[in-house]
Amino acid sequence: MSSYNYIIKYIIVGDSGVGKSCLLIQFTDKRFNAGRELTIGVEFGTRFISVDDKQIKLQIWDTAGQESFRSITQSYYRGAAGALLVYDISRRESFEHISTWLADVRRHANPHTTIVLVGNKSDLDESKRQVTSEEAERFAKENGIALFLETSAKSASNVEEVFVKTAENVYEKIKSGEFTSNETSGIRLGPVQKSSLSEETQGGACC
Amino acid sequence: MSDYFSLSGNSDPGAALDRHQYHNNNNNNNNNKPQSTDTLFSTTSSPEFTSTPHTLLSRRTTITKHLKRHWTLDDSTSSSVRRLFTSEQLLKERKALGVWRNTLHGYLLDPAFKVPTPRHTHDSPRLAYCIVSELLATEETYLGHLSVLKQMFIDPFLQTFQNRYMIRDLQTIFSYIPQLIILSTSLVRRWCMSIEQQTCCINGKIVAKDTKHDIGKTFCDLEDEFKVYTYYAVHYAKAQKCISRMEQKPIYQQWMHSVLQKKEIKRMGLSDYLIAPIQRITRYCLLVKDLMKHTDGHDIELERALKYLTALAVAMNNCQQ
Repeated sequence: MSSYNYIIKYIIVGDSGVGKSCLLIQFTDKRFNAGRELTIGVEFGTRFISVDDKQIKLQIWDTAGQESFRSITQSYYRGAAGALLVYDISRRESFEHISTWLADVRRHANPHTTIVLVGNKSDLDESKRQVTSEEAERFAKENGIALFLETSAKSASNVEEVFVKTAENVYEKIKSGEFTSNETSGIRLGPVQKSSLSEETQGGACC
Repeated sequence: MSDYFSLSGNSDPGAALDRHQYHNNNNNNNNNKPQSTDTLFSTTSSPEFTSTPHTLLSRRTTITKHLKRHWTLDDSTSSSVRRLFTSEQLLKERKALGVWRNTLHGYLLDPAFKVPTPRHTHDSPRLAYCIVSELLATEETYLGHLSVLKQMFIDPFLQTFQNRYMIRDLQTIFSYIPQLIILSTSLVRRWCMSIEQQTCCINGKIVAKDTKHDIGKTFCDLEDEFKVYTYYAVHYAKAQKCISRMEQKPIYQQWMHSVLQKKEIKRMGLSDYLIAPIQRITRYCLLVKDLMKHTDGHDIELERALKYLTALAVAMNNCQQ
């Protein structure tokens, strides 16, 4: 699997317990561990996807355990092309904190970083819901967040979509030349690279 | 990895100063003792010094003698000697260490500090075993990262840029990597033994015997060694800035491009590797918390480990601001 065109780096942030690691594991390993059996210990997960006939390697950084250490997390933002802001639809508080997470991302990330709002645990009974999807949708719009999706790491609903759509959005930016590949943009060229794509990305500062 | 096992995990009296000399002696960082000699040298001179090897040698010898004399004296005298060479960096390191210690002290006295309550079930031995295995597996990955960082980035980096640019901030943070490797190696070795004791082999299957483990003890035994993480965190932000500066330079871009082609580094950049130690501490906290839930009875050492690791994360976070 060494013939990919891009490596795109994501970061997942949000309050503790919203399911950041579970989303990551569901996406990379296609499994869900409710009873906390294995691996919260991964620092990041990787998976290959293809967008527009291009092979893309996603490198997804999990920030579990660092929720109360904001200054530590900040240094991840710098090199992320995609940022997933996750809240738990059954915990209003976690949604209300999204604005501070958003502020952090805006302050420290690359201005072109694709920001996505994710309401996790959509498998839960409607009676447990504390944040409606309309409200979250509105929040996303008002705050210029490109994408909003409700997911369930447990049932895998929308998990694939959230990561792939983010990648599509990033890829559009690469094509339009908004993003160039270097350390700070969170995008690196894969091994099958070189001249053709360098031109495609408008030369830029690609290595 | 086997040669890491031969290293000693004991701290060296000159360790605080040793950190600053790594760039002078990067091929030889395994034997701590002789290094304290050039240490002073580099803290008192610019990193881009150009002395000939001959003059270097003679000055080193005198400084060694001088240091040896002072380090045999009592604590108060040696600290006054150290103060002579105290830089702003050292002051920051001490401050971070102070934050760690004070926070820990607060936690130890605080009855409201939240410790997970054990919820022992019939499945606990298996879960405890899973967590210990994960602790070990992720430690091995982490140690692998540190080794790649050292071999694929730091050593070639220092060879290429030693006298070229102002890279002091990077040199400083790089100098802690060997200590981190030693510490991580000790943890891996001890946890390997712990897992062996915790399990037995029944009909070819590995089965967890009970929830007993000595994770807490391991952490407590090595508590003092963890201070290297506070030092690391102190220099982390500056190192990031230094990388940003370097990224503007074509020669660095070229060099990085060639490094990124290597298979071993798995297409991760220097910044990705540098954050690993910061991340690791917060992961310990998560894993230790989980382990407490499935540990039989009250494990005092595990509780102390959780408190000092949390305090360490606080201190490391604190010095990023």
